[in-house]
Amino acid sequence: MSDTINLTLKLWQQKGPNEKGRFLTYEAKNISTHASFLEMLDVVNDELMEKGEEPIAFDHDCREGICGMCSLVINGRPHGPDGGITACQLHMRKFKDGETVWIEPWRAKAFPVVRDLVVDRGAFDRIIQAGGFVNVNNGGAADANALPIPKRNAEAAMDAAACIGCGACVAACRNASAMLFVAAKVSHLSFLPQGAVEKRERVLNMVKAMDEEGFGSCTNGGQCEAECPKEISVSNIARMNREYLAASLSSS
Amino acid sequence: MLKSSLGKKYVMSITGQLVCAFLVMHLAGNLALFAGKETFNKYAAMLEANKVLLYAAEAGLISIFLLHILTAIRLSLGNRAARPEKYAVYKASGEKRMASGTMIFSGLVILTFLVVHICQFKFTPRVGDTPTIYDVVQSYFAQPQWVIFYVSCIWVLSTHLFHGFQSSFQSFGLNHPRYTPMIKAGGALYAVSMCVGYTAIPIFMYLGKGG
Amino acid sequence: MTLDSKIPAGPLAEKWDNHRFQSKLVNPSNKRKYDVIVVGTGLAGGSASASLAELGYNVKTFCIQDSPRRAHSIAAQGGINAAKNYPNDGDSVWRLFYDTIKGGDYRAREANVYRLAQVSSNIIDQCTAQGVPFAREYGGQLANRSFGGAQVSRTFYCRGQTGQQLLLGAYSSLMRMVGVGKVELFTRREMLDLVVIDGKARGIIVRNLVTGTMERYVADAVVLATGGYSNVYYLSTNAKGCNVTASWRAHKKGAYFANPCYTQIHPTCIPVSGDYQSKLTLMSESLRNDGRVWVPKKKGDDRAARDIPENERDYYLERKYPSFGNLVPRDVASRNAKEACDDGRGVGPSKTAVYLDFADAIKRDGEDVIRQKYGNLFHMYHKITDEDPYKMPMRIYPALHYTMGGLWVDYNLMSSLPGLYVLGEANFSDHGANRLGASALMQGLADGYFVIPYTIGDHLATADLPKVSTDHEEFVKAEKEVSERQNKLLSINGKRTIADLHKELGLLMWDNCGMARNEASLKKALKKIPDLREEFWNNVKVPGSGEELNQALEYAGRVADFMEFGELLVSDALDRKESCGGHFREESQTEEGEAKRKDDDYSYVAAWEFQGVGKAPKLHKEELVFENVKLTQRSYK
Repeated sequence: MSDTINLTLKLWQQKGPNEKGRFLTYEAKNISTHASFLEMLDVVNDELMEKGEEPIAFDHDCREGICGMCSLVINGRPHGPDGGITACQLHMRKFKDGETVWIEPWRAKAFPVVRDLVVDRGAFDRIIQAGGFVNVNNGGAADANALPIPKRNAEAAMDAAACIGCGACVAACRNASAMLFVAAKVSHLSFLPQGAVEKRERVLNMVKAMDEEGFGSCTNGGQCEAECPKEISVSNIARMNREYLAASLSSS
Repeated sequence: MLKSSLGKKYVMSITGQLVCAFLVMHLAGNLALFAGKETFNKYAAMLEANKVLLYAAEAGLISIFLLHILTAIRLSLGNRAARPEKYAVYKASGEKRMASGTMIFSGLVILTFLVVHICQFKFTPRVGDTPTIYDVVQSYFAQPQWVIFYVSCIWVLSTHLFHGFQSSFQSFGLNHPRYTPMIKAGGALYAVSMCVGYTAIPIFMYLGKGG
Repeated sequence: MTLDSKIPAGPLAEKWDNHRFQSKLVNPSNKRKYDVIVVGTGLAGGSASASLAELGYNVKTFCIQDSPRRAHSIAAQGGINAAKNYPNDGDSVWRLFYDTIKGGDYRAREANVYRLAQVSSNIIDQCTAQGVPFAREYGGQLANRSFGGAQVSRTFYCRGQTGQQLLLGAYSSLMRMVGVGKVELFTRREMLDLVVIDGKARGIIVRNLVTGTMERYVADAVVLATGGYSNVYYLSTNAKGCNVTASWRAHKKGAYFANPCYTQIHPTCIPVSGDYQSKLTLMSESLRNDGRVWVPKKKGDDRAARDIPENERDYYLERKYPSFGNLVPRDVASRNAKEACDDGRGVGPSKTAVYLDFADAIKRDGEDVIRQKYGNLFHMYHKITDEDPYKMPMRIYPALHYTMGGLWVDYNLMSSLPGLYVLGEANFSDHGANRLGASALMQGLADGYFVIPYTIGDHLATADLPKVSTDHEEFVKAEKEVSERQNKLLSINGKRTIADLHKELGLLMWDNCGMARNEASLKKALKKIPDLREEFWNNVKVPGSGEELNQALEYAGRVADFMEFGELLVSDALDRKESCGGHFREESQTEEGEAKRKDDDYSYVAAWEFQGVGKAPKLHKEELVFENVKLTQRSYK
């Protein structure tokens, strides 16, 4: 059993949002198959630095699949070839010796490249800011058990709330649409009585904010669900469509 | 509402559903071709008898189609703009990738087909060798190139329907673990029926003449 | 300067109420006249920003990530404690207080811990109101699970992602305040210095990580919620970005650093697999309920686990601790794993791991039962190691996980520098020498939601806070220092990579000031760290420029601070010649090899004052007074 592999990497390099990018071809030698994908990039960057070249910038933080920071399209798939995980949880044993690996940033107008593989996902924050919350001030909350919530609803809310805001849905979508991200938040809060109070305003405001950011629209292609590291369902998108329709028709 | 991205999807799905309904009626009527020249011409005459109704129906159909097409083009342009720099390699999976990713292209093919189809069967003068609408139909479908053209276009239309039918339910928020599989199966059945029904006409006409 | 903990007088249960009543308030219409800076957006920083903004203060919030939602609180798995007593199993504020004080090995302040227990219930209410989807019972009520160090079920949870859900709750409140304009949010900004004017914290210098420009921000108070310093050991379960920089720069500007030697090591992490290893992944402690820990009896035994017969295995925890067995506390389990490996009996390619074997449990309960209990953990282990734990034993090793020490704060969470508040893991206050499971989330949110909103007002209402501008000479001076330091880093152009030097520091810390420490090892570390620091400043290679996104430069700055901070950690460990909680001094153990506290000599908080790089820090002692609990020695035999 061979424990190391050699790879040809095609790494996206781009100085800034308005600069032209290009692929750097790099021969990565003796990569341990036990290393994670980001550890492989660490090794490559260290080698680049030793050679006096600038390392490739990429976002990462927790390296255990929960912070949502890592954002690499690997061989055409957000977070790489393995399903249900983020790029930081991807291991090199998923690659074959001699393989060419293309590494690109999330590509969307709403996620401008900051540098190399780092993109600006501020659009997601602005969408949440528009309504992804329950309008309740700190202090004075009723006892947590005062409002019973069916276990089924709590579980469904949790399914949607598992979103890590990484943006893989946008990166995967043929149209760079953010529907799955927005729908997951809308669903999470409408499943719970605390959030249901403002569900009408919430969905209208969040969709408006989403449209203003320049995301594409949903064509129900399902790439978002297939590539989501937390496997969030497109049924959430349907729920948002329904709520938006109801909210629009009842608006004064 | 209609200015939002979701609003446009509602327009797409309502107009799409209306076209779907029209396709069923259109097919049902045209099956009269199988009953022979007399029945079909009678059916056509009946449709054309009440001018007011005819123009109203045509105006309705035109607006539905226009709304569907123009909204589709706007959405498609917006979607293109949403990703100015394309991926060098793109392999995102997704169950309905083939049909869903090509809606705008199948749509444009269908649009071309529609123009040709209307020119042929609405505006061909019913004189000389082809005094009735049945003769017009027969004359076109006697030529193999038109049979192939129709069959191919209908096949494209069916793939469009295959995705469009069930997608329109999702756009309106109908997604349920129990019903969605049924809707999907229904959509597939619908697309296949339309495909079979509509392709049967040129093929039958062609074979009927040849035999 | 003498340390005044400002613990209010009166009976324990009434201290917080009395204190709140006696604190000065800022009247509602005056709140908008005050600016508060909050650095960090984890549970503590996020909740503090939101709460202060809701009260009416103008808040400026900073984080190093691209979004406030990415702070490392998000990775907490298990849950959050609260003295709700919903299961009716005898819990109370007093019991939570007692468990926390005892779990902390009697090295925390009674008053702080009691307040923490008091507000714990409000946290659950508040989070529920925000829409945090806590696990529920079929009747619709909140579910509880039990956790280490407690005999009651008081832990609330959201599957294995409690930290994520609580953080998203705080984040949503924060973003709501950004939306109404009460919080100004600055992402991808790293605080590089604290600005102190007339003895009060009045602002910060940050580097805009995208453009590289230095920016100055002024305020009436500064709140640090910048997390812990586990990454001084290089390998830890912390996120890669976690660092001590903000705390350390504040320390250099006069804030005392307390108990840095209290570090928590988690026994069940996936071991290191190679040099490229960048971080360690934690697996829930619950695995020890069914797994049996063992190593081969023979040194250097290279056989596969399954080929080692039963009588050649050493189930050392069961052997040494017959009554607790594999369920001994974290520190005991960790230390024993290290001993086995130091003895040459470690397993796996690196020989630094021990087996956690489920074969007996599978034989007893069947694979399905084990899968139901631990399926997700087994799956994660399988993904990372490519080994199936149903078929062969897991390999585990301890890893740095949490740091109880931090900047010294008084009862108001204000540091020794007036106007500088420190919340969450960044302060030292509530966990003593050891933190219990599911208490970190509780403390972060308690500080942010329920303590700082009350205590900051007292300072703002009473302190003399003249208007200052960012042109003030202290701002100019601080920015100049920060820029010069950055330019120096960029100009060294040596031969070694930053990670290489960081790894060397980490290994030095781990070997000499890790799970077990002794005078000789600590002195050795104290001697070596300055040399390594010098090597760093002479031989590190930092590519690129300061006027752009430069992740190497960011990293270099953080490692440079670890190089200084590590020395303080070791000094503190050397000073404390007793074993307590996460700090195990080999000289201070019982005959059975258990940690031995020396309450007569070391029942104090060690608060260190900065004297200059490479100079011995000055120790200030805050004596801990226990009026309500009786100090006992732990035993798990």
